[in-house]
Amino acid sequence: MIHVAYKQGETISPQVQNITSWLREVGVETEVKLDKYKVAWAEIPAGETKKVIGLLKEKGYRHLSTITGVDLPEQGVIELIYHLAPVKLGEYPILALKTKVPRDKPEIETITDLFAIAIVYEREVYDLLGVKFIGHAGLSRILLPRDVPEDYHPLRKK
Amino acid sequence: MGMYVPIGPYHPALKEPITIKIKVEGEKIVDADIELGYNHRGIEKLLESKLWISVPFISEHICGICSGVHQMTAIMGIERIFDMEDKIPERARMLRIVGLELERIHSHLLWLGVAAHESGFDTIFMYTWRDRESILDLLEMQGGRRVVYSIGKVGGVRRDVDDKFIRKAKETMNYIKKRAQEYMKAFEEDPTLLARFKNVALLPYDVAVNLGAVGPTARASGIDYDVRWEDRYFGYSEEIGLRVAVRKEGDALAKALVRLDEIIISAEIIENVLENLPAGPIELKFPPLKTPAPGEAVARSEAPRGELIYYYRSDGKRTPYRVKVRTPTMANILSAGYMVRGGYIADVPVAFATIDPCIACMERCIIVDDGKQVRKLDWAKLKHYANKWFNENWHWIKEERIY
Repeated sequence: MIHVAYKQGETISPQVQNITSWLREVGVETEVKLDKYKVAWAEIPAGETKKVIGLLKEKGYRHLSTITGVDLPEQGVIELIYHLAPVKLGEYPILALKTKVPRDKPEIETITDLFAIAIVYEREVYDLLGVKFIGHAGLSRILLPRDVPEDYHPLRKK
Repeated sequence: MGMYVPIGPYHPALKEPITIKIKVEGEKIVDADIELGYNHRGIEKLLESKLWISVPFISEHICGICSGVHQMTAIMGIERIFDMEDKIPERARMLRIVGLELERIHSHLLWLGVAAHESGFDTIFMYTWRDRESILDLLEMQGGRRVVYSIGKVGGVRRDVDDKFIRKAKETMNYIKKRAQEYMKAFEEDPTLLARFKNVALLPYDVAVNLGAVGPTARASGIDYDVRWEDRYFGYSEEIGLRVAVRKEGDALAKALVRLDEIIISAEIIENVLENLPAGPIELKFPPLKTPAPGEAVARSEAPRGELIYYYRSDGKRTPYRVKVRTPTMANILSAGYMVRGGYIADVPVAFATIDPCIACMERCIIVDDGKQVRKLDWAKLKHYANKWFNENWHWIKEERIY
């Protein structure tokens, strides 16, 4: 079991149980935890990202807030966090969906065909952390100038 | 066979310097492509080297207009990391709401002025910016400065308000509500404004959903989504007068009217909050060198331009391990590209001003004609061209848009 660092809450809401069962439907066994501030956290394998996000979008998580990348050199991985928000779904919490890609070969499938705005967010993660999104048309730098060296990604820790 | 018109990299309607390459056929824009990459300041990296207590004071420099909401959201995340959000005194939360809503009013008034200015209606520009001064005075009274006012801090707010502030704020809110009604009337009835705003920069509902639009841009397209309403942070609720302003039309006019509605709602919130301001302390003491437990937190809020989200990761040290900021402009970038499509070159100043207000200055705009002939237009000339073009084509464009 991978160590997850978020603060654990004391409550298990029915909404969170629903999310867990949705994920079980597509064959992803994971624990969804709700923190005190109404943010649900879950960790899924990198290969299942697209399937899971596609399902969550169908279920009502229709807004992708952003994609965060965190470099973790001790574990040798880059953590990607997909921040999804429910739209008109009642009491459901916002969801931080985590996945990990190896630091020496950071590659993951794109979700641009699910969320168009991911075009921008994936380019940002590629720019600052060097994660390659397979299938992204036009994956290039977005925030940094075009003349920085290709293998330079400023938010890498070492 | 079209030709390309690159606009940017410096532009008044967007926070960051930006290039928007538009492909035109005659006057019609058929395609638009957006390029960023001129203004990366590395604030996320900088924040990794700052004490937790100093993070909000750096993060408020991300935006010059909505500095308050950046600071408050940064504070919200830090208070979650330190597990103290529910201990913040009630009076401090209410004073944060006052600061945030004052900021929303001044940001929207600024935007109205810019939008009217870009369409050649400078009277409204003068009026709105005059009214905005009264809000800036209030912010100065509350925070000590007109811009980048640092109202909040980790654990509460920096300054308390006195009776003089409350009295002046109530007077100003009354005045602002009246003025907002006036502007609404101007936008709804004035034929010049209607011709430049109605059915311009259309963003239909399903496109806005698909492109992940946030804030007034989304709400003008019928998306009933406001983070204040969804998350109820700091104590936002119906009781203090919170409503969500939504319009269905999706054009530039709807975006203006949504913002005017929000000005009125914000003024009502400020009145209600100041009327029932709870007594008590305004801060929780927070030692500067305090270290949190390892953990993560997400904080999001409704900035004047839309959903703003912060992510923090702590590894138990005095400084954050990672800070991530996603500003609303980033989420609205694709919508911006969509909205100029199908319009006229002469609509570009208005369409861009409609998307996102900011006081940065347009530096240049170059029109390239298939690589053979190159003409340069600066922003003033483009605006002059736009207004001239509208004067000449007034007779038919008025019919097309209004009737």
